[in-house]
Amino acid sequence: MKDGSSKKQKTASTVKSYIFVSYLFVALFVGMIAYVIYFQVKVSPELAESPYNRHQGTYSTTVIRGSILASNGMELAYTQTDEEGNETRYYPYGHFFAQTVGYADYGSSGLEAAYNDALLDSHTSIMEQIENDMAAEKYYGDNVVTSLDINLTQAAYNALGGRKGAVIVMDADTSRVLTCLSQPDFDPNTVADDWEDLITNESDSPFLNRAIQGLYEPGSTFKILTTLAYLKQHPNDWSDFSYECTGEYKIGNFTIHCIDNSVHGKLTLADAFSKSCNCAFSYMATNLLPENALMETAEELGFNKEIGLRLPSSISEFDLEKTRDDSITAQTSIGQGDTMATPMQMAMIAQAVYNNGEMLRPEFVIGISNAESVTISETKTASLGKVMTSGQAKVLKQLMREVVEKGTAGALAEIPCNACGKTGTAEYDNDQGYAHSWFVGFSNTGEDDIVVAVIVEESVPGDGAAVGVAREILKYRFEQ
Amino acid sequence: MINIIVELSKYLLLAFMLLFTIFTYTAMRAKTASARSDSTRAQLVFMLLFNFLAYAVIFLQKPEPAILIIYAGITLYMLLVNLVYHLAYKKASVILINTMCMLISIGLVIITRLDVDDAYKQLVIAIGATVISFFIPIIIRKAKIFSKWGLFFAILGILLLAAVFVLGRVYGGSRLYLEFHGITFQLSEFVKLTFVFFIAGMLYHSTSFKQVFFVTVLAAIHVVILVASTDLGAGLVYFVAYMVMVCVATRKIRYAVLGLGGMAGASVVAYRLFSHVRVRVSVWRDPVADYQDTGYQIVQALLSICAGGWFGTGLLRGSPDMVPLVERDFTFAAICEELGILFAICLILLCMVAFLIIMNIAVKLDNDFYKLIALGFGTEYAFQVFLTIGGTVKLIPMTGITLPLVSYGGSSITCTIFMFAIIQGLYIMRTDVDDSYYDDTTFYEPEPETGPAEGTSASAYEFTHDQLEEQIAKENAYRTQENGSAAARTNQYIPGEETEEFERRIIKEAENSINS
Repeated sequence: MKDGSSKKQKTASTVKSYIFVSYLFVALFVGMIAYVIYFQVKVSPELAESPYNRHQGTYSTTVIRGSILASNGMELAYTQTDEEGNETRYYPYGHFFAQTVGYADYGSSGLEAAYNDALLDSHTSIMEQIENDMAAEKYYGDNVVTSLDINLTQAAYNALGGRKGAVIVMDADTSRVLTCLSQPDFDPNTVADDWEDLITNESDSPFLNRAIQGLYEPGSTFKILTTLAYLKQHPNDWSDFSYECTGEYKIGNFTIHCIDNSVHGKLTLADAFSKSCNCAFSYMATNLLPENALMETAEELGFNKEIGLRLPSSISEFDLEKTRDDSITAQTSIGQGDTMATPMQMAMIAQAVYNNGEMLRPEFVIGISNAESVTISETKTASLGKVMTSGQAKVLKQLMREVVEKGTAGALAEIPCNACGKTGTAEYDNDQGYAHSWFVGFSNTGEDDIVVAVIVEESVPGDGAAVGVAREILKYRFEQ
Repeated sequence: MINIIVELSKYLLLAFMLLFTIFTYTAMRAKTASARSDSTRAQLVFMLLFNFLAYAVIFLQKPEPAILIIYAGITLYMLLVNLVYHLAYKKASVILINTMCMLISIGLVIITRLDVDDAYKQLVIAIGATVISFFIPIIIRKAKIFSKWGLFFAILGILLLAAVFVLGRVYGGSRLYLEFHGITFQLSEFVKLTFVFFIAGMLYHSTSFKQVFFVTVLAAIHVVILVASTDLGAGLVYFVAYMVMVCVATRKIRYAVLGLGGMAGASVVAYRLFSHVRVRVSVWRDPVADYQDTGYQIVQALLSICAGGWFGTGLLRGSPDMVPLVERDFTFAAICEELGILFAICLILLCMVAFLIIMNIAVKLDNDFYKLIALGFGTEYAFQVFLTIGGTVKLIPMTGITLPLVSYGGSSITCTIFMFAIIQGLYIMRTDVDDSYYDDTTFYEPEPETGPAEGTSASAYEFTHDQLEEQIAKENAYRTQENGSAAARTNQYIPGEETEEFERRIIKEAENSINS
């Protein structure tokens, strides 16, 4: 072969080995293309939501930021362009949705931040784009359609009346959020101007969305969980539970008192629940429940877990294992101790009770539509799992109904919505003897029901401040 | 108005790219010279359209005169290269010339978009390298001498790499460049050429175990120096070229098994020994883990790819400049962002076709030394493309190597242009009686059934597959029969060491017997 004079000498095997190498590399290239496609289809959508993604900002040079709409189509946030092409973002319902809708002027927060991509993406038709191109040189971004209800939120806002606190109202069947109110608030229209004041205001923390980020001791609302743990242990004979309340319950050196030092006397489970008897539940948790029952129930209901909202939210905390001590267990069973919950977390539990034990993921956004109001995508209802049996849910509903009929939430009895719920009082460290007032519950008419969770900070223990707020909301919903 | 143009340009640029790729493929598969020249003409048209539109879109959004100069430069470049080859080297492969020009111009468009000064530099270097490369086919005519210089090339390569390792300038944590009068050279690119000459030369003379072992030792020295100087990508490219060339030259698959085993072992050792290897791997596993530092570049590149979607943001509408060193290491990410994933897929296909053209040429060459050189270059090219693109999309760890002809980098583009010119030079030299048949690359049908597609005369060419099988059977029979006496017969052949020459002689005899 070294003479190279004749081409005939080529053997089939020489050629074959070259073809083999070619095929090998062709396979490598094809694999690479397959991976690029996989990357685009699978990896890309997840990655685009990464908090490190700043590439999205560049669209704003060609797209006018879309609007955020309330469930009735009113604009909660929109961009107006003046004659010189300057864009201003307006929030017509400023304070009501301050933390939830957020702002997009000075950094961004809330839905403005979470749906930045969608708002700067444009799905208008080609013709529309060409028209815009000729005229304004900019496309209209897509709109984010939320489930937020302006009037209901206003009712909640008025009911809270300037007190610190938070309100969550959700559609009971779908877990769509109708109201997500947090007080104190701020005016998103003037964030840039007020910035210095807002970020230094530590006592009010106006940027904190208390409804989903605020962590509070759940107080007696936690008795829903303690009761559920008990129902799991005694599925058939729970109604045999009986306890004689003497106003105090001693565990070693520690004494649990009932609120206002009241003495409840002989109690069934329903009585203990509706009267919110601390002693009965402390006794139950320390004597009748296995060691990990509370922990398991709390975690099944979503404690110590990310909720999976697209807005920044806090994880509700439950911790009993490492400090296992009967006095701590007793306190935990009545919502004190180390347990911390967000109003959203408690609303989700109430929603699961309403929904026969199936917990749904709360959603703020119904879907995305383009500037011509054509739906681009819809948010599907996602189940977070069956967190209790429908039998247990039914019993809890019954117990929560009795709280309204003859217990601590009697203020709701007059509203024609068959309200069910649980009140709570969360003590915290202060000199005035104030406590946070809780209510969590739902209407149970079978149609257009809502779940309500209310926390009113710094109220007089036992004044039922939160029930009062819930009352106004339910009244607005069912009496008008 | 500009918005519409940019928006439409995305789809048009993709269409031009797609058509260019399709015509490159049809040109390669064309059976007749006229069909082939139709396709190569179409290649040229779509290449010119692509450049016109791309620079128009950039210029409309960023009206700098330098952009027009670059456009004029690259357009003239493409036309002149075509013309020079047409006039001086009629037998050259026009498909390969056009493919090379297209790859260079895609790169130049994206570099112009990122940094006009860099694009200008890149263009000047490409022109300079191409002018020099016009003389390569003349030099390569004496290429046979080079087959004797295998050891010289090996020592030259090792010395150059060692010089970089000892004297090199530290750039971005790596010691990859040698500075000379203010110009930096990435010598591992140049050594890529000598490396192939060294292996081809040495294996051409003998494929005995002793020789293969010797080649392995010399190749290993190359690779070890590269890995030690943190040029992992080049190290891998060298290694794969070495392995493929040895396997093809010896036709022993066990060398591949040994080679892969050796590579696995060496990778483990390198992982333990060198922290920069560990960093690359951990960044690949979880780039977000060390986002602020080592993971930053790759995360930004991935986000850049995401931002584009199927059709891209349009030129100058994305923000690929958020990726550090984008024009050097992540050109592919910038292309994905602004021209789209579909365009990027076309680019991968085009690189694949470029590789197939080279392999096709390798098959057509009549001398095994030349064949091995073309094979080595083709392998280096293909594997480098795989490492760059695979690294950019995080299929494999990033090795920090350029996308040949596309990425910014003077040494890289110069050497790739030289590499292509050498392949052209070898191709031009092929001796064939029937010139009209060989006036351009004809795709070699990859089905094994076709057997050798070439011959010196029409009668030889009419060889059927059956006849060929017969020859091989005869050859095998002959070999078994003569196994003991073969050494005595040919004097220089040791039993069990089947060289090509041995096989060819047998086949020639077989052919003669059939033809007569």
